[in-house]
Amino acid sequence: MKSLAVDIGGVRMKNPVVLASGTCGYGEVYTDFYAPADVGAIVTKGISLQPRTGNPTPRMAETPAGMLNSIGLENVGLAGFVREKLPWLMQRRATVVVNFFGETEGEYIELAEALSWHDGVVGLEMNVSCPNIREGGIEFGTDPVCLERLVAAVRGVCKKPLWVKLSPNVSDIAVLAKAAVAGGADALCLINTLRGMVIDIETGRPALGSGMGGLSGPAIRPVAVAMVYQAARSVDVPVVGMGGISSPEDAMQFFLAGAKAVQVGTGCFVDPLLPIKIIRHLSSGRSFFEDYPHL
Amino acid sequence: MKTIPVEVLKNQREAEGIYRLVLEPQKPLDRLDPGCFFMVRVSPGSDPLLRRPLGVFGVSAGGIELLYQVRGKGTRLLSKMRPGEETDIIGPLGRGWRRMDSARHILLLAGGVGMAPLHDLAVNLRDFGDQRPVTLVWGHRDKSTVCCLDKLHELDLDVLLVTEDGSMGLQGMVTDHLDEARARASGKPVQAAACGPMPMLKKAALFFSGLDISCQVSLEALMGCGMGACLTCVVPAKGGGHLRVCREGPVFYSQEIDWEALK
Repeated sequence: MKSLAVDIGGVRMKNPVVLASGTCGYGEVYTDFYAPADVGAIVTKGISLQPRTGNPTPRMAETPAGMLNSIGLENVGLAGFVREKLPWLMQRRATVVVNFFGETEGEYIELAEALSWHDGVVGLEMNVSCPNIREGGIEFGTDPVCLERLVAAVRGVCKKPLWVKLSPNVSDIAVLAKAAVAGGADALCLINTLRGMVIDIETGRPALGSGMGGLSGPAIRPVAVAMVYQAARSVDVPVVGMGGISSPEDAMQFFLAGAKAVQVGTGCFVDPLLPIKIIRHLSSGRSFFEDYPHL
Repeated sequence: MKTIPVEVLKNQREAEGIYRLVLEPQKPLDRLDPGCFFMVRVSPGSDPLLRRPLGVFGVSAGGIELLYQVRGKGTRLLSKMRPGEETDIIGPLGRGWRRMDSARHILLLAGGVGMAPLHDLAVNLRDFGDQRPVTLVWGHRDKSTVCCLDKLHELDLDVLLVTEDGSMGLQGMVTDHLDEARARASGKPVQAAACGPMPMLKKAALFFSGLDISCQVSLEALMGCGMGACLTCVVPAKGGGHLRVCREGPVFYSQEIDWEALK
């Protein structure tokens, strides 16, 4: 079998298929379907310094070919993650990339520094784009000056490969991609969810408890492919593509757009074996590595 | 849990908007405890995208029986499925009913299609030769959704039908008849199991906790994945934090839930 190994900004993975943050818990969700070490990497639920209980329900509304969510970054917090979740992932030899976020630059720095000390953490993924929390990442991820400064500050203390997950809620993704790389990002991941709203016409109020949410699923895939295409042409670090991937063929579009790896999330809710199907597709017969030698 | 291809054997309209779906698994099932559920794919395409969580009504030689009410796009599509069609389901999912060993009489409280997991429980009790008396209070808005009474009689249940408009059985809500249900046990130690709308479950939980009677509740919730990943279906836990209906539930002891914090 041909090797699918890739190096994404210093994170060495046995294949280019990654579980997206917020859609696989802390890696324990899909163990009935495959082992955590079978995928290229697992990006954990976003970690904050303190545990968070997240947003009020309803937290999800189904939309045409997609879903809107506002979980509100519920997570066990740094200490809880390190104590209760990380050892389990390490025992299973999973390649662990920890997604993290703060509400201030100081919190980002503190988290990146603390997570850098753990052998089981192979890389970090900075969330600068989750649209759910008013005081969370959105400001950092939409302003290039702010983004570059934040990434540079984190880069200064981070001893692990640093991925930056970009927000699609911007007018020119290339500008933000360049800003993140100028700040020191080792790789870029995109896209995060698109901001959206569903209004319940019975009540006249938003369907989600917190008003707006993040749209994911096949509905956003063309937007994601376009942004990956633009970002991959404006920076020289690896790009990890995601957004609505629901089949191996969907994943191929992202590789062709310039991604060196893909992340899958919402698609796994419908088909938990999706990442394995993509890996099999890549390793079987005439794969994209032969068909598209420029990749 | 695993993904199981299934063939539709029956998709029977049992009452107004209520269907009983019988699915033949094309792969052996994992152990199926009463009170579990499956995530059912309702469309081969991506709209609607998500699977629908459906509680098990029972398991027969023919297959898995699920009871559902048509409420939106997904369940409407499901109701159009014909025998011979194929789809797939993920499961069994969740933690089902806990044993009720200390009870001499069991009370079941059902609201509408909340009957499904309670029927599953009752079938399981009788299948294992459990002859303890069981009283079922089953509430409906009106008589149009009453169904499957023959199946309940087969299980030798003491059935109290309740309709809000009094068009069949007793008038009122399930929770208006809790004292009467309790009286059916004539003083013997009882335990309760309930499934239905949240306000009903909350009232039942408070009623039984006031009497120091153990009450389990099976919760219904909007779900994204059904496997514990998306955190859509959370309910507030007594003592803080959340419980995932799909993973820690759908069945809980009523005192595990913070009913005051629940909206």
